[in-house]
Amino acid sequence: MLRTAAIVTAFVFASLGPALAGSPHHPSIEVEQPWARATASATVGAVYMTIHERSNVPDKLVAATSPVAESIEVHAHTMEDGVMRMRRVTAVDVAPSSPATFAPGSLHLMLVGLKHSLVRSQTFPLSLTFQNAGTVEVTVTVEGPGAKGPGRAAAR
Amino acid sequence: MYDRLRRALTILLVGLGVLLVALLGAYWWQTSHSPAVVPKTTAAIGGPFELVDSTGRTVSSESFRGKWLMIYFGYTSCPDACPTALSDMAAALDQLGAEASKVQALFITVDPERDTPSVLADYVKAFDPRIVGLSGNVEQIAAATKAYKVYYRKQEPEADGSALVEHTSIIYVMDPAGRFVTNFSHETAPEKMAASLRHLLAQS
Repeated sequence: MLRTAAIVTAFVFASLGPALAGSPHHPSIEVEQPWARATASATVGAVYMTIHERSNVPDKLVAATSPVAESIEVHAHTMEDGVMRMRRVTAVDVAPSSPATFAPGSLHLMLVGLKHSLVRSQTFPLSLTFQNAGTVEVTVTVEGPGAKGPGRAAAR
Repeated sequence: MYDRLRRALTILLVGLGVLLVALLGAYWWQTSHSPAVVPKTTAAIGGPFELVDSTGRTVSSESFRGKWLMIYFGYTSCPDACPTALSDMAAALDQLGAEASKVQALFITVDPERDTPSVLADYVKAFDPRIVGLSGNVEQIAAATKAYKVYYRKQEPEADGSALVEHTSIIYVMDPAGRFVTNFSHETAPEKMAASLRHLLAQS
């Protein structure tokens, strides 16, 4: 009994760790390392992250806004016969053991009508709205224009 | 008699099962070992083009003779695929070291209305100074995309009036004589691109 309690406590503390990494503490939604690519003169940008659902209740990302863009849409990539197609997605499921991964080549948040170019090393605020969890505010870090992941700048 | 029949059927079923596993195995092996996406009519890929470089100068495909080419068609307002492809091409050039001087990376826009030569120049230099961005008027771009069998289609405008372009996302490799040799999907790892190029350079 004591051992079970100890293990459970250890898990609870362990799961707090990632929650402290860049996103405000929220009971059920944890947004891991939101990042964006730097843009030149493009009016669209891309934001990537991994969203974890930490409670037992499946949730859905239904909207996103940011002061840096006029609007934000979620798009999924599909490659069909060598053609890159993007499809707008209206909601993204986030389930307890099934995080939603936004990464180059797959899901991404598309910033439409960028008000200024995104410059590497800068950060900007992003509000994510979930069906159950409500709004979660995060800070997005801008990486290099060809970056493959957060904190690694360009792939080279 | 039924015993014999049952035994025969069992053997038959086991045999079919083995055959099925073998076929599935062969199919899986083939699909996982098949090369990157290859356009359907590979022999006809490529051809003369006339486009405009960052200084506004007209360049023809002839200008690049003597170098191996890595050509990617995309546009600067491409949120995801193009930055990935350009970054990978740049990384592949890095990995080639001194041999990179024998390879020319080109980025040809499928959105000439927005991607003027100077917009392109600004864009590609963020990835690598060796990448050359090429634009042109609508006819020149149409001719180049036709030669390379590149599909592209502008989508309905977004809320801000800008539009995304669906496009073939393949890196074409041409030899110093301007002939199509192979291609990489835009998700090919830079190491793999560099290795293929090194192999081609060694053979030539």
